[in-house]
Parts: sequence; C-alpha cells; structure tokens
Amino acid sequence: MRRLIALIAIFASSATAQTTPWPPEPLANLKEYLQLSDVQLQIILHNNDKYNRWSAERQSRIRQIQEEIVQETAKSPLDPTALGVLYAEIETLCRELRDRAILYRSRNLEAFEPAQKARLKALEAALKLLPLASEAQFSNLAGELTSAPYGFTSRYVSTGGARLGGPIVAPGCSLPMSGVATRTGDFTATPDNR
Amino acid sequence: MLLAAAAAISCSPDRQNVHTPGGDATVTQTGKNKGTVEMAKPGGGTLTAEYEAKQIPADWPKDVPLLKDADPVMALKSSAGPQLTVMTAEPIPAIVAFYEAQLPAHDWKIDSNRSTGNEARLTAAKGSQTAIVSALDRGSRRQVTINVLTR
Repeated sequence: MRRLIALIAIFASSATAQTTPWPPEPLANLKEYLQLSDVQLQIILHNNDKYNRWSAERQSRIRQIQEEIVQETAKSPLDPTALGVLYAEIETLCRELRDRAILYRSRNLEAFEPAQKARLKALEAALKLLPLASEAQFSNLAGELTSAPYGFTSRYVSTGGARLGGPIVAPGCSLPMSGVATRTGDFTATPDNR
Repeated sequence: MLLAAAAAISCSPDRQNVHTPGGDATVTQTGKNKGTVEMAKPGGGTLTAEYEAKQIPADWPKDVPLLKDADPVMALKSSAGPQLTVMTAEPIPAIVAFYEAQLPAHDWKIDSNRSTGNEARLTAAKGSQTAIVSALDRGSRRQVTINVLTR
C-alpha cells in the first residue's frame, strides 16, 4: 500500500513539474496581465525586497516600543512624558514606512509603458470595488462556495464585515467540498484522535 | 530607562531631549500630564505632536465613539490627526461588535475588519478621513488605539 502511495506521489509530482515551474515565479499572473518584461519584474522584486529589508528593522523597533508602552502603562503613577515619546516614536516610524513605500512604488512604476499604466488603472478601479465584493461574499450573494461557510451576515450575526477572502469556514469543514482529499505518508504511528 | 538617558542631556525640568532609535526628540511639558514632542525623522523631516495622558481630549471627534468602559491612557495629536489609546475590560469580540455597529451609525463605512484570537483591526472611511481601531489583548485588559487620519 505504501509503495502504491509512493508511486502515485512520484507520478503526481512529475506530472505537475511539466506544467508548474518550481519554485513558482513571483507575480506570474500580474506579469501576464500587465505584460511586464523580465527586467521590469526584476526591478519590482528588487525594490520590494529592499523595502522589506528596510522595513523589517522598523517593524521590529515598533514591536519593541509597544512592549515598552505596555510596561509604562502598567506603572502607577503614569509617566506621561515617557509615554508621549514612545507614542511619538511609533508615529514617526509609521510615517517613515509609509513615505518609503511611496518612494518604492514610484520606482516600481518608473519604467511602465502607457498601456501598462492604463491596465494598472483598471486594477485600481477594481480595488475600489473590493469592499463591496467582500460584503457580497459575506451576504451569500457571490463568490465560490468551495468550503462550508460558518455563517453569513444577518440581522443578528455579523460574520466579519469587509474581511477579504470570503466567509470563515465552519469548524471541522476545512477541506474543500469539491476537491479530492489526499493523504500520503506513513501514518502507522499516528494516534487515533477521533 | 528612556528618560533616565534623557535626563543626562535635558535642558530644563520642563524640556528634555531624548534620543531614541526612531529619532531624536525634544519633549516640552506644557501642563500636568501633557506636553509636546518634536521628533526628527532619521530620513529627514520632523514630527510635532501634542500628547495628553489620562484623559480624553476635549476635541476628540464626536463621530468616533468610545466604549463606555474606556480608561484613557494617552492621546496624541499631530498633523496626521488625533490618536487615542484606552484600556478596557471588554473582550475583543465586544470591542469589534461595538465599532462594527457604532462607526456606520456615525456615517463611517467599514473598509476592513480583521480579527485573530488576541488582536483585531478595523478600518473605516468617511470622506477624506480614515479611522483605524486596533485592539490588543493585554491579559486582564485590552488596549484599544484609535487613529483618525486625514488624507
């Protein structure tokens, strides 16, 4: 039985390898939609990588400040000056993050052709509809029902408003209804947890 | 510790210079529990903010409701808009439910609403303003921070 599963796994992986590159190319769908050249894609990925590295340090500092705020808030009496500085520092760092994101976005867009900019505008318009689309999902009006939803927005229940990605899956129903459940590996040592 | 370092370079009891990893700050106390912070951003530019501890500012926007059980910790006001942090005994789902109901009742449109077990973040828009409500579980109480930003 184990040998059969192993054979199926090898067959499945070789079949997948013919159609899906591994590791998957980042932003492949966007590249196709915007007709990005390889150079443009690399510029975007490079800029985003630079931002991620730069922001990681700031975010780490923000988490540290948040912990300091917790400690300061627990003190009695409060030290308003210390708290004021901590909150101001977070605000300063957040602004820096936003300013730097704006800078890198402008760099990402620098080499865009007019046709690519037009397609991007269409995406911007679609983004504005996302909250509406989400409400439609949460109202059981639109979206795929591949899993069993926990619930929908009703007069008495609010299931998450504009949360993107669709309704939460009902407990115990995380497997897609339309998909095929597969289980591979050696489970002889797995305790029965039912 | 932060202010211990600052004390070494302070100019007067009401005015202190503080060095932080996020930038150098000058803090001026203008009254009991309140003052201003001027912070130089490492990348250039300055943030000027007024802070006020332990009370809800008189000019807090009336259309951004606050929980009944809200113990104010710190308010910060800068050119970006006001920010208020309160502590509450209310659980996170109750905080989220309150703002899900109260923000639309004050003509805000909820844009996003994300919750995990011990954290929630809700954003809403009204004209050129964005309200961001963040709730964080802090053991026996929850820390709720509300930012009202003007684009």
